[in-house]
Amino acid sequence: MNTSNIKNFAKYDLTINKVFYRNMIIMSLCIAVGISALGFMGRYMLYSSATAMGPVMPYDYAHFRNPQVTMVFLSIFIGMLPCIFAGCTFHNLRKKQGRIMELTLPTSNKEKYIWHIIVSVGFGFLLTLASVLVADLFNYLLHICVFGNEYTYSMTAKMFDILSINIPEAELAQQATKFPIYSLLSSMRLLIITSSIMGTCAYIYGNSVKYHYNIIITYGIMLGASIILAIGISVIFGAAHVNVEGDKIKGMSTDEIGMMNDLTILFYCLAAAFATIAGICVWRSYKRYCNAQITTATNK
Amino acid sequence: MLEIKNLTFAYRGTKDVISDLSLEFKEGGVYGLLGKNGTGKSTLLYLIMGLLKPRMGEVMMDGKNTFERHPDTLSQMFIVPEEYEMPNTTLDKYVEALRPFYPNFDEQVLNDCLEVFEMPTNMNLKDLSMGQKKKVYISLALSIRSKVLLMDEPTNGLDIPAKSQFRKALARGMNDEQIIIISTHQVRDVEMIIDHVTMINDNQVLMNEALDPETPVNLEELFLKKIGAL
Repeated sequence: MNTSNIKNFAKYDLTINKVFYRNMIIMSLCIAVGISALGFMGRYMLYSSATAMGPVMPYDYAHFRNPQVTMVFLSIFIGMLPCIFAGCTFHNLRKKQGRIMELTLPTSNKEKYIWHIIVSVGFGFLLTLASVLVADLFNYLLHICVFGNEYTYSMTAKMFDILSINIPEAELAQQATKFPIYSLLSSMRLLIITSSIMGTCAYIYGNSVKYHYNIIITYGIMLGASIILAIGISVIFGAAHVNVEGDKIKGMSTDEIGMMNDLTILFYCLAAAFATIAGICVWRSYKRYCNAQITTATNK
Repeated sequence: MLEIKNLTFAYRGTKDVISDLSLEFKEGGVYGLLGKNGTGKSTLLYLIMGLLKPRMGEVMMDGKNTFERHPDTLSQMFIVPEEYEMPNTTLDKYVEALRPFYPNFDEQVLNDCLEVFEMPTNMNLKDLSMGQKKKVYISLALSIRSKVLLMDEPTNGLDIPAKSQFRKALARGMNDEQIIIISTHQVRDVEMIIDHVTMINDNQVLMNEALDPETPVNLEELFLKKIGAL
């Protein structure tokens, strides 16, 4: 593998797809800023109505600083955008003419594939982060203009706060004497990370199978699989912790430590499974890329 | 040398488009690949280029299987497909992006071919008409100076003066070490430039011969005779 070949291919890809990448950047920024702007407008309308009502319905300004609904939508955006980027990994192969150019370009499949992953995953992640920061800055500036400096805070910081498990250390230590809480928290963090990676890899694999409508199809399959997995885990985990006397169910087990241990093991097993699936998706997508043809059953 | 050995290919759910085909192409030859619509001329070019996987057989370019798409092999091959898209960029930038992949690229040949086609040397590729894109693409193909140059219906979309320009550009741009394969059903456009004819019809090679430069041949009549239409 030659890094200068990857650089040459990168330059080629950026030259022929300049408009595509520019449109993706504009789209990401516009959606993020749009969410921020709409959220602020909604809050401002509520604030205006409340202050107009005045003594009839006194309101605390604090309610209108709180962009929780905006943060919910931005979180969805953070979840979706990397998947969309991953689903565009092989965008050069969308059209027959593009397949001819890409597949006949004198660079090894490995070098081309590495560049595509760098763009779809690396650039996708960076652009998502940048879009959220721009949306946050936009929200901050609007707040400064309307409500002054006192009532503003960073949405990005708040979202990371919510995502991180923000329990004081003293309380954790106290809980740890009753429950295996540290193990449980570690397993949860690992599960979140591996499921995110698996999701991204699944979209990459979906794009290697189908070059059109792959994002919608992959989303549908992932949604179906998630529902089946959730139901399956609930049933199996619930059944494992139910008290049965004779032929009657007497309720759930009161062995909370046992349940915590089982949950921890379950999360670690799921994390391992997701990591394995992610690896298989990447490997299979690479193989499919190496064997890509100008016309196949799934790509005309 | 380019060798096709016992090549068989079919699109999914269809009968064989190419069946047990064996051919050889040597350096210094301009091969005309002639046949009716739907006989598999374009498919054969895609198989040669490694863009399709044969069901059986293989295409070997200097001993390497073209479907494996080794960079060394690909740098010695180029295809001008029947339809293609030009990127939204200038010719200069596109050439700069392509040049590192093709070590034999010759800018003088590009400029000469563009001059023959009466095209400017710098333009935005997206703004060109179909015929203009074709002229630029053919000029690029010739300037890459690959060992194997495949052209699928190169004169489609060209007006009559442009067809004459195409013949001049090809004469100016090609060299003795190249294998040029031109697939076409517009025989008259290429009969003055090809020196070897391969005719295929219904999975059969009807003719695979060098043309005698001393004896002009009407390829259209010859083809019709071969397929029994005359």
